[in-house]
Amino acid sequence: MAIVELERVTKDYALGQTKVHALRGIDLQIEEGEFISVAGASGSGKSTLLNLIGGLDSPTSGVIRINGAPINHLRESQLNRLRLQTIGFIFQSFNLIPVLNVYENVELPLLIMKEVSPQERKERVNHFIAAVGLSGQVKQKPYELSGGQRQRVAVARALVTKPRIVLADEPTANLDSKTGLEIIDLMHRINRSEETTFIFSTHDAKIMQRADRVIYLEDGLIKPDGSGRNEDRP
Amino acid sequence: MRWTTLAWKNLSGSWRRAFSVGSFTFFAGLFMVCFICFIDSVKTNMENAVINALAGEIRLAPAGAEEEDIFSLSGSWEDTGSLTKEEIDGAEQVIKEIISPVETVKRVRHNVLLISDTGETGAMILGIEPHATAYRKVLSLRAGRYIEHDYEVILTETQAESLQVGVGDILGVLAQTKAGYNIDSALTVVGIGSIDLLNLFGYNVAYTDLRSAGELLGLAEGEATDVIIYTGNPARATEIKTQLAASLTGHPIAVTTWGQTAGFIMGGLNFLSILYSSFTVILLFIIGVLLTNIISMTLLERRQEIGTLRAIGFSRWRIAWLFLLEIALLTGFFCLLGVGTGSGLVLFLGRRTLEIPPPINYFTGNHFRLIYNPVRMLPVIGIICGVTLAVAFFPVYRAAKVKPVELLQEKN
Ligand SMILES: Nc1ncnc2c1ncn2[C@@H]1O[C@H](COP(=O)(O)OP(=O)(O)O)[C@@H](O)[C@H]1O
Ligand SMILES: [Mg+2]
Repeated sequence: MAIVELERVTKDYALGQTKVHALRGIDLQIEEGEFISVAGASGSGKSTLLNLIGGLDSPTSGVIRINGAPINHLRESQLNRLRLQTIGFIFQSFNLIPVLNVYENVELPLLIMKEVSPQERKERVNHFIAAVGLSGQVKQKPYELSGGQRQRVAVARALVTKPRIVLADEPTANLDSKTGLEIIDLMHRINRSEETTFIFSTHDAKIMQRADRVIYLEDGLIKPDGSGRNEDRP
Repeated sequence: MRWTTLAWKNLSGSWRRAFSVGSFTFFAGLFMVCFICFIDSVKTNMENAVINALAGEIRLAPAGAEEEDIFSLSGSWEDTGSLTKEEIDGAEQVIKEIISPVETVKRVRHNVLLISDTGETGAMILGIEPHATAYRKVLSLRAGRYIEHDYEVILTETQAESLQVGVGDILGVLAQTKAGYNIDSALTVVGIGSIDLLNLFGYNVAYTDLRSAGELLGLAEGEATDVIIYTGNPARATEIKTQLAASLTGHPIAVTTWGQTAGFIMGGLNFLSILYSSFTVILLFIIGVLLTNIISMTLLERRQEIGTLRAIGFSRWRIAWLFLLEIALLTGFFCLLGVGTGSGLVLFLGRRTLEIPPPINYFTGNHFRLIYNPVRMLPVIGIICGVTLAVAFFPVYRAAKVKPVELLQEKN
């Protein structure tokens, strides 16, 4: 069974009197453990697609299933739980809490996970900080870190809840290409070791080549030839 | 990491903003503490003056005198009657059985004409037993001494001035007995002084000894117009009065508390409380408006942070709660700081008696001592924190309600 499934999903935005058709009928299946890139020009609908999958917004029509269950009509509290337990987010501009240090930023999501004991919380935070290679910087504040390091913190924060899906909207757009590739490779390693499904958007050809599969978006539609497998995996 | 840690870090991360909100809470706390202590002190001092100079804590008077206005200088008190020796002795017996009073003072009050070589003035005299001490606590002498023997009088400064007499001079006194005969007498001025606080309420009374006043009213030895009792615990006056009144049923005696006989003067002080309340309301209103604005602005700046937390899975209630926690910590801290500073100020000023210039001396008397009551700080803290949180709730809730995508929209 696909972990993410979209059926004829559309999304319109009202822009004054007119409507912007951001997504115009997306059919998509993503299997557990995939490392997928959503590619496309700016304005093609990448962010919209990821936001819908993440339950941050709801589609105008169509069905989105996570783990087989439709999320269209979930109550807000259920969406909160879905985002907390099943989905992790990585953002283009890192979105770390500026007043918190590395450790605390990673710890943040676990504060509302009552099922994780303080002991396990500590272990998990340290484990994922180590996994992104920042064990030496736990006490540092975001402003003391480089862009690449900040995004590593964000990756650790997304993973610390042990989500089954990580959504990353242009995670490398604010990084130089070398650092961007490092982040993608880090995500890929974690994808394999933790078997977490990764869906990341990008408009950078080098970055999308690192994905197992690339979905090309154009004007709110998946290009017919655009769902191909990458042969040249890293 | 705990929630309070997170809130605290957010606050200290933008200490400038925190300080601007905090300073208002600080001043609110400071102001409220100082004002409350001031009012309390005025009230306590006034109570003190009224009880010690005039009303006693409990007063025994002839039946029918309950409604009497003991501050009034007009009217003829002689009409209100007096207590006989038997009545007083009987009552004193009963009192001794129930309570052990600190002091019991027989008194005779009368309106007389005081005459000197150069002038004359109508005055209310209050004859007290020479051993009475309570009035000495509040009557401050400018010259001379307190009453020690018969045929002595202490004049107020105003009276001494208008009669142009000093300590050691002898005054003529003209009065009418209760039977209606004219009677004259002579009193030696042994002291000049006044009761600060009551003076300003137009209370001009000349203290004299019980015997002279009794003679001037035509009373027999042992008779008095009333008896005042000091138990040492004014707060329990009502309770003790009820007890006494029950035991004195059958005696033709009215028992009243100082609250009843002098209540109107204390009531006059309510004006101060109203002044205080209005200031407080205005202050809290200003704080409310400012706080709403500052919080709304802060929340605008923190949209991305809120969006991130929502994406992570924080519920809007959790986020609202987090922000309110920040505000609670902030106001709590600065409120305590303000209350602490205010308390320090009051305690410091209360270490000595202050000389108060007009017009404030109208409330305080010329000599004023601030009294600090820690229990009164709790409602101050409660009100400030309560109002701030109530005011903060709306903008916080509104900000937390926004859809996460809107909060997360990239600005570039
Ligand atoms: N909140 C919104 N209101 C109106 N139009 C929007 C909104 N968000 C996105 N759009 C429009 O939807 C289309 C897809 O946007 P987006 O998903 O952000 O594309 P991408 O992430 O690929 O750049 C664009 O034309 C964009 O202008
Ligand atoms: Mg985008």
